[in-house]
Amino acid sequence: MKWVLNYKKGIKLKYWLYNFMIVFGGLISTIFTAMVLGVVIDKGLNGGQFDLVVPLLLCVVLITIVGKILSYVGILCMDNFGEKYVGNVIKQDCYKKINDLDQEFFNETPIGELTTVMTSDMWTIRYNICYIVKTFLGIVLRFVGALCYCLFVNWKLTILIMIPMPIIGLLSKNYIKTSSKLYQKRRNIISSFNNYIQENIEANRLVKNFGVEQQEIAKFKEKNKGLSRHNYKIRMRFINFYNRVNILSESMTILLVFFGGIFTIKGWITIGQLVAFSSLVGYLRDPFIELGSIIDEWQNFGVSVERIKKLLGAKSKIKDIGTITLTKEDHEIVFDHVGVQFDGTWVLKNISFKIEPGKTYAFIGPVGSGKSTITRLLLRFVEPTKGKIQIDGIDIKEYTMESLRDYFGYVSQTTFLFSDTIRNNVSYSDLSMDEEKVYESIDLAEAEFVYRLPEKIKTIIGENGVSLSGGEKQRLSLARALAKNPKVLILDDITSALDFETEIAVSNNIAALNYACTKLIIAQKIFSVKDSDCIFVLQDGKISEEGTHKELLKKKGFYHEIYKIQKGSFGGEKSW
Amino acid sequence: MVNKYDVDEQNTRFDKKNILRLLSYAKKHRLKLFVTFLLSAVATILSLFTTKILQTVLDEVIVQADMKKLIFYTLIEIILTIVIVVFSKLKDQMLAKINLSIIYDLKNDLFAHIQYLSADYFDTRPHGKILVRVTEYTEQVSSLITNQLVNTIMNFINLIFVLIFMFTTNISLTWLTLVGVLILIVIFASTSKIKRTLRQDINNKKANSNAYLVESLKGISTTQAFNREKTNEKIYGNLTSIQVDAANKIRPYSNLGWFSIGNISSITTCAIYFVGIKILYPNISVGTIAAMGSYSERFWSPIRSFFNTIDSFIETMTYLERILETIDEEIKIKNSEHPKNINISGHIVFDHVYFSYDGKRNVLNGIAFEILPGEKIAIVGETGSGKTTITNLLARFYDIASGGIYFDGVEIKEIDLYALRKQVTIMQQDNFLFSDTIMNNLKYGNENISDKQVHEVCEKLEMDAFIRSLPEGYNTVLENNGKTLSEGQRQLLSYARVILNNPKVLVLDEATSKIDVQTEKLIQTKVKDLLKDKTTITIAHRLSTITDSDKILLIKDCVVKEEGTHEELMRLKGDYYKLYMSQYALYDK
Repeated sequence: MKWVLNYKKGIKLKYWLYNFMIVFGGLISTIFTAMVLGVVIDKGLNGGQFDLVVPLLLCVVLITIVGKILSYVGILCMDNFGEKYVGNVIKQDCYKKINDLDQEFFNETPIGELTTVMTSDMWTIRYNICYIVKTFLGIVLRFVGALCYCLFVNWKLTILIMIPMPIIGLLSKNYIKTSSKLYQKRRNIISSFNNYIQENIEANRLVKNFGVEQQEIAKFKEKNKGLSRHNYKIRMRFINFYNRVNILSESMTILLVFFGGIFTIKGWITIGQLVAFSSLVGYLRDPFIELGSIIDEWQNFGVSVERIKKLLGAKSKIKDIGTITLTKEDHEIVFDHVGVQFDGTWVLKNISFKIEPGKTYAFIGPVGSGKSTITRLLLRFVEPTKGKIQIDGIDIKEYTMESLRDYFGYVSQTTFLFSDTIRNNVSYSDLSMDEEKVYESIDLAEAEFVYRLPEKIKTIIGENGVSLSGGEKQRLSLARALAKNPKVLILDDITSALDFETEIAVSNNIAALNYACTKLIIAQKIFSVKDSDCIFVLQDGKISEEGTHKELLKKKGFYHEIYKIQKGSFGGEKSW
Repeated sequence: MVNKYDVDEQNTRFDKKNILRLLSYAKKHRLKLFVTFLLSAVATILSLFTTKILQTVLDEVIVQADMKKLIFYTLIEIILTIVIVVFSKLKDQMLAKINLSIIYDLKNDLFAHIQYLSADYFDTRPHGKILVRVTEYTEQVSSLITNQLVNTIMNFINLIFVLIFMFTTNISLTWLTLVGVLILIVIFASTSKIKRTLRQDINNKKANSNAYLVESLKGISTTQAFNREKTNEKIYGNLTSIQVDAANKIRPYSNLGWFSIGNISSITTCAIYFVGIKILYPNISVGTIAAMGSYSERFWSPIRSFFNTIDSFIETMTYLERILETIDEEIKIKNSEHPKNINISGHIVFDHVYFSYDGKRNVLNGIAFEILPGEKIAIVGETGSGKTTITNLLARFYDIASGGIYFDGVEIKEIDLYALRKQVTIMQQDNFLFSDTIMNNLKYGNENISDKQVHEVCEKLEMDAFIRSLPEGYNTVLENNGKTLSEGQRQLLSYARVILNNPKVLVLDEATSKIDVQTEKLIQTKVKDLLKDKTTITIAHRLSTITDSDKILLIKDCVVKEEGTHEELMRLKGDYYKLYMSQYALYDK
């Protein structure tokens, strides 16, 4: 609670003011009016002072209305505040945080967990900051008020009635301690449950394709049952606890009947005082019953706050601490003995090379040889474990992340498109881009299919472009990168789903860009790389050969072998 | 119409039938529900007695100063309290059980239905919007038919008792109280429609921001690579503030309930005293007025919770409607009335198939071909020529507009859909890997496969050594669609998964596009061995990989333009020849 209220400065005063309005409004409209009504009955009706009745009644109505308006306004303000504070401040900060976290975080954190934090945990803390304090305050005030009155009338009897109180206190403490793990576990179960559903929806075609709907439903039922069972466990524990509190607080009434009876019989208190006691015992007893529910909410609240704190406190290993802005001009990029280690294995070992502006470089090599890692290093999705990468002699860490990433146009192997219009997808780097530029990029990427769509660039493509073929998606993601006017274009095996003719057209377009642009190409086809100024052959995380197509062929090494295989599959028969 | 994150879903109208359908979920618990009614009824009545005892103690025991009687009544009070507490505990437990069970059933039904919805349902809306229905809406619905239903009935009984007391005490003062209720009903009736609209709006806005969030998380690499963080924060910020505003709009109305009840109850109580004392007195006694006053106070407490229930009823119905809307969503691709569970041999006929995704633009224009069991077929053609569409039709992800697709002479629509898909498997271009171990991913769809079989296939695909080199080997848990693997490795895993699923007809849609030529060469012969008794349909751009197919189909302009073996097509000197020579030329320079 403290954390939530300290999260942003200058809100506490507002917060307590609203709480005060609600509680005070509630108090005067219930207790105060009850007291005045008591006077009406005692003096007005039984006492026969009829002329007192009308002003007193008016007073009751007035106080009620004033009190209710006070709490009505207070609640509206509080809810407004809670929604805005959690929705617009904490939630947006979390979203910002998520955007700033590095890839490693996402490799380890299931999306379902993040969505759960961003939705249901946020809901829980909003609900609780709006309700817990005001409810708790209300209870405490009523309790204290009633207690003072009772102590004043007869402190001995009051203490006797209050015997169960310390036991309730102990019970609550114990419950909080033993059940908090269960509440934490519930959040984790919910997270993984949500993640499961989210993946199932995403993989809907695979599910259909394998005809495993039945199995998926069975799996779901299993998980659903797990969640349901755990909820049941928590529920039952809570009901047990609640029930014990209930017994103890009910026993206060019994104690009142018994000791109150004795006290009156012995003449230590009057019958009138006993009546007052009996009408107030509710105020002494009910807080404990309500306390049970508050504890339940409080437990949820605590777990949710912890999870949000954890997200906000997550640290990127890759930090944006650079101060130099990388200008969009020609720069020389150098890999200086770079090594990258993942989970104890070296994916890249001691790689060194130089990239000069305007030229074309290519990387070729088997699956898992570390080709993609090189491109990810440039964008700082991955940080070198060893060695460094320099641009114009300065370590890339010294540049601001934003200017660095702006320098590159990255087309990744896994195309990701958003369920938005084609226009918004292509102009992803800059939404204010004019339509002309969008079409220009589409043309460069040979994504001519867009013109055949009824709504052209206004067509909404489904989640991750489901309505498009693989080749169409790849061309759109290329158009998206070209629209950035990047100084370095990174093409990570983008033509794998393109037919040869399209690929040739695309590479001609890229070669003829009207500004100087360095190209880094990852490919498997020799012909995609053969015109490059320099080809690096990667094997097992190392550069085994480098040079132009001709030079490499002369070497008769691994490159030559790839060439032979690819050519050989064509060259076999020449009967035509 | 395709939906996206900044488009609200269409609102539905209120339908009374929905309530009945919700109640049908409670049907199997009706006995338990009945028992909970009894339990709470007994507890309520007994608690009236405890008040009575206190009264008796005050009136009799103390006046008579009878210690024995005091002890006697205390004992009775203890017994009563124990019974009440035990009963309400039982009631709470049973209700909790029913509640959870209804949520459980509802979730299962919803999820099961979603499994069978056709592919286009998922294609046309953000997945985040489907997600909230299963994860959040279902949680909200069940308390309406358990706790609230029970409470409402209890309140109703309570109310009737109080009303009887009131009417027997004084009729005209009772009518006065009922005028207050009338005003309340007017207030609620006039605001319920707007509350419903506002509630629907909140849900829509919430679904929107949720959809955007889920997609942002999936596309985080793209966002970071394109420096879009700030813009996305703005968009998301905008979506959440719209959501906040929508939520705040309903507050004045949703808080109107207790506000007006509080005021009206106080005013009517005062009015009773006023009318009683100023007008009716001395025709009625002071005692009657006081009694009516205190009854009036008791009268409002059930009314209050009654109207609270109405509010949550309005809210719950908006969730329920979305759930039922999904459950009612038509399954477009489904089994015929008497589906045939045939064993597919691999004989496939496409008989002048016409197909269009949107009903406007034909993607296939009378495609016709025949595939014999065990044949190795290749489909080639330009990007976007309809190759992937053919694979989608083979697994009946979509139904064709006209023409026919036959497996062993049986129309595709007549075949049991799930038997068909078990036997005809497509390896798609986008491969999804689940957050699970590599082993479980490979065994997906067929848990009976032995680990040995998995190892064997992986070995043939040159993946075994790599997987074993991972810290946990086959038990390595993949996260977020196998993000930590390279694309080639992901493709090889999906390839292994499809082979392990052991279909009769295997469709490979660019199955090896991301695998380098050496690896491809290495695995080629071994894979051939694995696939020898299967009919395979391969889609590939690299013609060199398909030259030894039994038959090659060249698709152009939405029809099969050329058909034959590699040699036949080369001799034809048509489009295939041109395509092949152009690819060959690239290496011949």
